[in-house]
Amino acid sequence: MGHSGGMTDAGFALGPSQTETLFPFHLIWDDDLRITQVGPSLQRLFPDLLAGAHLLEHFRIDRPHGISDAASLRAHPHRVFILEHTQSKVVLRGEVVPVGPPPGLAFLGSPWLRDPSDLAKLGLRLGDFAGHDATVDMLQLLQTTATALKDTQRLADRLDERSRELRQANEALRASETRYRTLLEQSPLGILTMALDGDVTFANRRLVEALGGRPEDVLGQAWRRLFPLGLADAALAELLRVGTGQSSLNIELPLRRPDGSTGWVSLTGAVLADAQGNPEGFLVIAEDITSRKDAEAAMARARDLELQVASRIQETLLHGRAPKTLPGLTVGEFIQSHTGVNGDFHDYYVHTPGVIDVLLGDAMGKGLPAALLGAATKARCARVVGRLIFEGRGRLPEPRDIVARLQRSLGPQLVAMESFVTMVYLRLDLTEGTITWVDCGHPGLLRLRRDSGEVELLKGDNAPLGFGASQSFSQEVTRFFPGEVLVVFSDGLTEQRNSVGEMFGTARLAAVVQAAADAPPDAMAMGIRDALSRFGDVSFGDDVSCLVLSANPLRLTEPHCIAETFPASPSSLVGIRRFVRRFLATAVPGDAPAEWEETLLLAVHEVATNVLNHGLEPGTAGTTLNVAVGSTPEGVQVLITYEGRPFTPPETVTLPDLAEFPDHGFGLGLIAGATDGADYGTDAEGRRTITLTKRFPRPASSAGPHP
Amino acid sequence: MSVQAETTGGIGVVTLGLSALDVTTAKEFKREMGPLLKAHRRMVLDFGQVTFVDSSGLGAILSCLRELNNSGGDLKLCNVLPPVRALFEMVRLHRIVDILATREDALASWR
Repeated sequence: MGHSGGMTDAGFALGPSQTETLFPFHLIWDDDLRITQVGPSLQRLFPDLLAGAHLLEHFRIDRPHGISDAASLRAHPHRVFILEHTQSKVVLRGEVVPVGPPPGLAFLGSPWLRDPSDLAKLGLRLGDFAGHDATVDMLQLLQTTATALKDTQRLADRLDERSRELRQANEALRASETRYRTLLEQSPLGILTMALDGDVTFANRRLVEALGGRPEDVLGQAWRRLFPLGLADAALAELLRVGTGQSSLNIELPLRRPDGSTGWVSLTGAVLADAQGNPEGFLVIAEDITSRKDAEAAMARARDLELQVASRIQETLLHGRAPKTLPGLTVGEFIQSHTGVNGDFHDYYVHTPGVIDVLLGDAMGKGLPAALLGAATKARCARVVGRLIFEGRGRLPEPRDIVARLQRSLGPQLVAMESFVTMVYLRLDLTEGTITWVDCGHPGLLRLRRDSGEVELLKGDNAPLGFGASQSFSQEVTRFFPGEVLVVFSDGLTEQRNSVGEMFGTARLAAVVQAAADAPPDAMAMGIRDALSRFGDVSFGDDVSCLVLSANPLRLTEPHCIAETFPASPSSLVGIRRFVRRFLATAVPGDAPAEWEETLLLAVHEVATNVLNHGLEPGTAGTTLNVAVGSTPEGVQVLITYEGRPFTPPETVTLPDLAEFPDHGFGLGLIAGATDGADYGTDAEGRRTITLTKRFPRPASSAGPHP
Repeated sequence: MSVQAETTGGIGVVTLGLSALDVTTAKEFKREMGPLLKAHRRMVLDFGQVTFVDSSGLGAILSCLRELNNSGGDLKLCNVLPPVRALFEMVRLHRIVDILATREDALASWR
């Protein structure tokens, strides 16, 4: 392909390379419209555009119209020419100027682009255009415009989105308000709002119903009028404090409805604040708790009833009666029941006047269940003791065997109930001077020694009843001499706390016992109680049981023993003999001959018969005989006490000579023959007393006194 | 009835249907024994059911013995339980009344 020869009507001429540089999309054809030269960028755009081809084979001249030859082309100088590439439809825009020689025409222009993206579509770059070509500026302008338009569009889109969001938010807000209103109205809770001055600004249906009035009775009314029982002021004061952020309102108020009925509401309050956070009113949620309050009141009544029952159990079943008339033992007690009633229990089993078992325990828990468990344990223990004595044919079982049987009997039930019992079972053998005890999780015993004056803690190491499946228990033994004191107590005593949380403790108890060493057991027990009260001005959080057992020196002249009262009637004679026989069953040494016991029973019978026949004033209905029996290592004493005439027995009493066949007058002789002595007297209260003394028979091989 | 009587070989045998011959039963015993004592010169008292005898019961037995002795008769006791025997031995009743182990022994003692 040749190159253009330059402008023919001007002194300015361009070389081929300059033409290619300045007009890279130029096209030159001759007067036959045969293409003679193609600019480099145009050649790259249309590779099939070859020299010699006819212009109109490749292009349609869109403007000016009616161009068909060179002459008509020349007739439109300085006109904008628009050529459309017939195959690709790419449009070129420019001017046609004459060139030559040889004469020809040159199209100086470039592709007519409307959008920068057209460059990529045609596979062109901005470098394909001449620097002066306005197309480049236009494309850059278009690019800038397009970018601006994009930004504008993006902004517009964002505005649209924000607008849509706002619209949705408004719709949601309206829906929320609708739901809120519905919620407020349909809420099962009463809701009201009120201004700072306490006037109600809104009240939902439930609140109006709860107050038992009409909406107009509530709306616009002062808060305090809703609660006429006078507590509203306190609630409002609380609400105002809520407003200062000092507290939250949570209060239960009684109310009286217009129909006169009463009820209860629970109020929960919150502050309503304006946009600046300043309180502008209150929101109060009210719940009708009348049913709950009624249920609570019913439960409280039931609880009171349960406590009454438990207290009755405690009074009647849990605590055994102390043996007051044992010759070898004096007992003092301090029993302080917790107001809620706990499970402390204790009991005494007097086997003989010289051998007494003591049971003291604490059933886990509080209230009626603990009281029942304690009572059941105590009852079961008594049954176990009796059963073992029966099985042993009168032989006294060891404390450890009693506790083991009790565990076998009661343990599985305790495990099933997930409960347990702490206890101590001890035996005072005043004739042997020993204490034998089984400690099952108990706080221990305190022994006040007479020799040193010291107080020692006696402990054991068995688990409480109901703990595991232990079937064997260990027992401890120590000496217990006349004049010594044993203090048996529940953990409620030593674990009592004062106002600063300090426990009373075993050491403090020991000090009290030591300080009261010379006091009688009753006084010592009261001293312990007083010390506990002084220790802390607090109510007792647990049951407190404290038994003070003092061993007395045994003397046969002391006529005190276990006792029973019988009607002064011949029909009581069998019962009196049975009572004494039951006592003798465990009091009389096993090697004593049977007639020893039988003759004593005969003597008791004769004394009672004499009293019935000769000692009572005529017409004294309702008179009774009190029979007391006790034993010592030396023998047995029986004391019969009555109100009536005294006997004046002859100084010497002998059995009548049976060979003379007397039919009466045997009584005094039998009494004398059956006993070692019968003393007739009067006690401090003026009652007549007859005391029978009968010493145990001495073994034939023993030269000394009975041990 | 506190006693049940039968006659064996001319000997009146009386079974005491009492557990106690004492102040509460002695009078009735004596009343019921009255006709029997008149009908028999020799009598056996079976104490097999009696577990307790007091001074009143002892007096009743002696009363029977006195009446039989006055009529030239005799009284024997049998089946005396240990508690009662203890009383009888204490008052030395066995020195004036034969106390036999069984009813047969008592009857045989007269043959």
